[in-house]
Amino acid sequence: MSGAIAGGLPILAVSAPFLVVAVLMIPAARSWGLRLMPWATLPALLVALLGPDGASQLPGTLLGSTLVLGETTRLALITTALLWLATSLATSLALGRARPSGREQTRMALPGLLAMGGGLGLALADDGLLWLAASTLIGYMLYALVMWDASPAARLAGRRLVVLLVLGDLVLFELLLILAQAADGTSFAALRATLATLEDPTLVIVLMILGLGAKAGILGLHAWLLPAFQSTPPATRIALIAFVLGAGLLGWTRLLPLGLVDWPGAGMAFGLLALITAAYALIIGMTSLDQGRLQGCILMVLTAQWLWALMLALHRPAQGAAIAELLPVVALQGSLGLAALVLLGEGDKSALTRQLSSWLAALVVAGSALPLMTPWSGWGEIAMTGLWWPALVLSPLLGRLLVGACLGGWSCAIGAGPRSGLMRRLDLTGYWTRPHEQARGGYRRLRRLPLILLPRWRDRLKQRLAAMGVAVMRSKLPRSIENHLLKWEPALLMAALIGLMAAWLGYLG
Amino acid sequence: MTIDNWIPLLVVGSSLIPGLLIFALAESRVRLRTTLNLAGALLKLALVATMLWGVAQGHQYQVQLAFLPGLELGLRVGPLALLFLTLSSLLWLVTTIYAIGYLEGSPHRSRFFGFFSLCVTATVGIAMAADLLTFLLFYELLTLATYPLVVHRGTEVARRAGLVYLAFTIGGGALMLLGIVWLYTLAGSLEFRPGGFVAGLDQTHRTSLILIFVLLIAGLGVKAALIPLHAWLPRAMVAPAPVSALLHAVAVVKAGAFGIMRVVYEVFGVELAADLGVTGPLALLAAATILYGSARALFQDDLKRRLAFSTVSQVAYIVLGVAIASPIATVGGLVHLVHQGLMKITLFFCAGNLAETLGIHRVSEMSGVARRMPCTLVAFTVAAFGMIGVPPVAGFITKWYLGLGALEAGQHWVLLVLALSSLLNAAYFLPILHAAWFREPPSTWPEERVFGRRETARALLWPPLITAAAALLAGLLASLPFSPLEWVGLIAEREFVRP
Repeated sequence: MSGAIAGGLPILAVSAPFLVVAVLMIPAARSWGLRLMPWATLPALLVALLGPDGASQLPGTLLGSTLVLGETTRLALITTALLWLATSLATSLALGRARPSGREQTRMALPGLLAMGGGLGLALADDGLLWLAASTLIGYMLYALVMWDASPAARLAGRRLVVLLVLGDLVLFELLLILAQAADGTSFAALRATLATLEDPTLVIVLMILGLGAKAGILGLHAWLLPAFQSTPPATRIALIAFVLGAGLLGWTRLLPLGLVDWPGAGMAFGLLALITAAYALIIGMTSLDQGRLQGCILMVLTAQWLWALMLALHRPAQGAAIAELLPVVALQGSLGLAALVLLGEGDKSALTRQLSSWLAALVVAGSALPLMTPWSGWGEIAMTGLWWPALVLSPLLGRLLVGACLGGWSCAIGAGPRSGLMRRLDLTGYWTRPHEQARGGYRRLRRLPLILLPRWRDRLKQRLAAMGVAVMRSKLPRSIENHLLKWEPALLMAALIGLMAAWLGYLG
Repeated sequence: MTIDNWIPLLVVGSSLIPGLLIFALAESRVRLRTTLNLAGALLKLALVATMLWGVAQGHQYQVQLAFLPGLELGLRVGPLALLFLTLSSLLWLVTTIYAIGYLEGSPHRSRFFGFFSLCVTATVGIAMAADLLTFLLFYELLTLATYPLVVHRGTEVARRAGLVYLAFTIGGGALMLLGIVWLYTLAGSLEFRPGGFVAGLDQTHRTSLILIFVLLIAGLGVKAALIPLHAWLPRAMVAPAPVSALLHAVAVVKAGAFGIMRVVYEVFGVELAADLGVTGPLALLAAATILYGSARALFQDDLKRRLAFSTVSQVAYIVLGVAIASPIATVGGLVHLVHQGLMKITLFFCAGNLAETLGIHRVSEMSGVARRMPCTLVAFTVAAFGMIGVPPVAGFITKWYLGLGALEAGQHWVLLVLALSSLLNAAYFLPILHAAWFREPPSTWPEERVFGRRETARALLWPPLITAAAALLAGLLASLPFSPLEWVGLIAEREFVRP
């Protein structure tokens, strides 16, 4: 492949959504644009999977910007592209169901496409200014997507999101100014090199936490995240995952010179933030009945996991480079997993959503084994631990989400089986909902189906297992344990979490 | 005289002659008036494009004309003059097209377009003035040419606003005249020179120079709407939208800011100004204006008044860039001359569209208006984001350079001002966008006019779309050759950044 073509590939990847926007703007070509919309992220996916490493100068853009396809950005691009593929397919299906007018369809599709362009730009940008521009584009377009649902909850989420966006962007602007002035450039390499020479990084770390934390949803700056997840459709929720990942979490790895600095104070701050964010997400997640809110809590735990990994990298510089390599894998696994869960919980009956959900769920299952590989991949013990404790926090939340999603009955949940019978008798809602909420229809609300299509014999096996589960759960002892757990589970889980952390900090020494 | 001497005169004549002819035209001669307007604007643009190429190659265009014994009027086109000249020529063309659509069917159009052309004549004269005297003459011509435009509607409110405008601007002109005469008696010259022409006088006339600086800045500060001399600007909002666009983006406030640049860089010189201790207070005044204008904008329900207070704030960025007195901040200040023009003219065009098409004058009437006028609101959104400083719109580049320049000059407090100002800008623009895009529209609009399937007339729709695209591209493609930023870099390199 010639150098010019290879250099143009990242530009092609980022510009595809903008080209579809251009097509949508031509009234005569609007229907073509709408048909192209779900596939606007495909060039990025193909470039990420097949394109060679390389950098593309963007002539004249901002103060001299570059897109880079390299080892780390490739994984980020794959993750982003997959998330946006899921988002755009879900949006297309939603538009197909609602059948609004052509003009209305364009109005709904445009923010999504622009956000997609911003998201892909975030993954490939190699300089602070282009990255900030992409980050603001995706941020404000997501604000538009959140606000389309005119419900009071969506309005609240939108208002909070836009306030935190403005504040976060301002802080990032000041941070980049300070770094760029010292670095005499805005490329991430120059910014990281400057950071590595700082004697006192306190101001920069504070600005980084505030600026990126507002987008990553760390505790204190998370006010938009849970209402946004609660009030938006699945397509928007997956876009929100892409935003948190690209504009928040990956920003830290782009800016911090991991492996080059020994900043125990900053590391401790990240660790503390990780703990309180995880603890908050756990408590809220365990006491919440809303599936969307629960998904938001899981995303907060992923953020906490990320912060914890940063803490490890800053505490143990020798492990920093390994952790920096590991984090994009964590991003791929965590974000796609959560996206799959968002789609699974939706219970959409369209064949395409079912297929999509099934494939993504398979990806999650396959990806879940990745942390197990850490001891053999040279990432080291500390890196592995950084992955595993959040998994402990995640497990009850994931369990709750999945049970909520499957509660309509394993028989149906697993796909082809009949809805009657087991589902009706499965009385797990006593455990997962409060009595007054059951009365209000909490049970019905939780009857969301994962819709995984499996061969018939496996469905039968699942049904049999579900029947056994029902039989066990309907006995007296489990009911009694459930009732007690309902009161004490957050406290118990918190105690376990704090104990684990204390043990870990003691181990670190 | 060579062709190079003639070109600056032709630039002046390309709007002066059509303007005078238009005065003589009957109201019914619509086609001829339109032809004269557009031909003049296109000719001026072609001449400016020629000079742009020439100056980039290091060429200078100038002409001297005898005025009084011992005094000459001079026009000279260097990189700095050309920056303002290009802006005003380009935006004049767009504003003319817009004004033709806006005033269709309204009375006194010949009078309006006549003064409109005179106004641009004065502006290009200010841009090309080679000395303070020429500058003052065109500066006063600008006052006289814009007054009839401010009072064009002929209402009582308009007449009162016009009187306030006249009182302020003539008062400012008088202060400037006093300063210029005093300076001439000390220096014996009024010719603009890179590095300033009064540098040799610092030891002997220090106090006089400080007072002259204050007089000149006060005179120019009226048009630049620096506090406390800004009161005329929000009142002048009674004028038709094209006039507001002209006042805020092309002519009047820009003339004041451009004049301050010339005084600091080409009359006193940055070093002398800093040595006299006048740049620090000027920076503080600019900072106070930035914050005050933004804070006042926050509480305005009238859309044009909100935009007017926003202008008070935004033009002060230019002055701040000049007053920080570092090369990078200079770039930020100079480039904002163009960036603010593109963004603010877009906002006023959009405000005009809302008023003309739906009868919307207030922010509180804008709920759901984006569903009725999506293209206008797209343009408004881009410009508003630019004003806030959201990348990659042009305003971001300005703030970036101002911030870098402030850090370079060790004036870290400027970062706080920039942050606060951006926050206030967001606070007064984002609620407008929120209401327009996400609230439910009312069942009827105050005074709706229907234009078939289009949201408004073509002549009203294209200008804001063009200027919004230009504002976006000026930021996104900031390092392209001949972009405003690159051009300003050339100015800074040639005229101000000296070893």
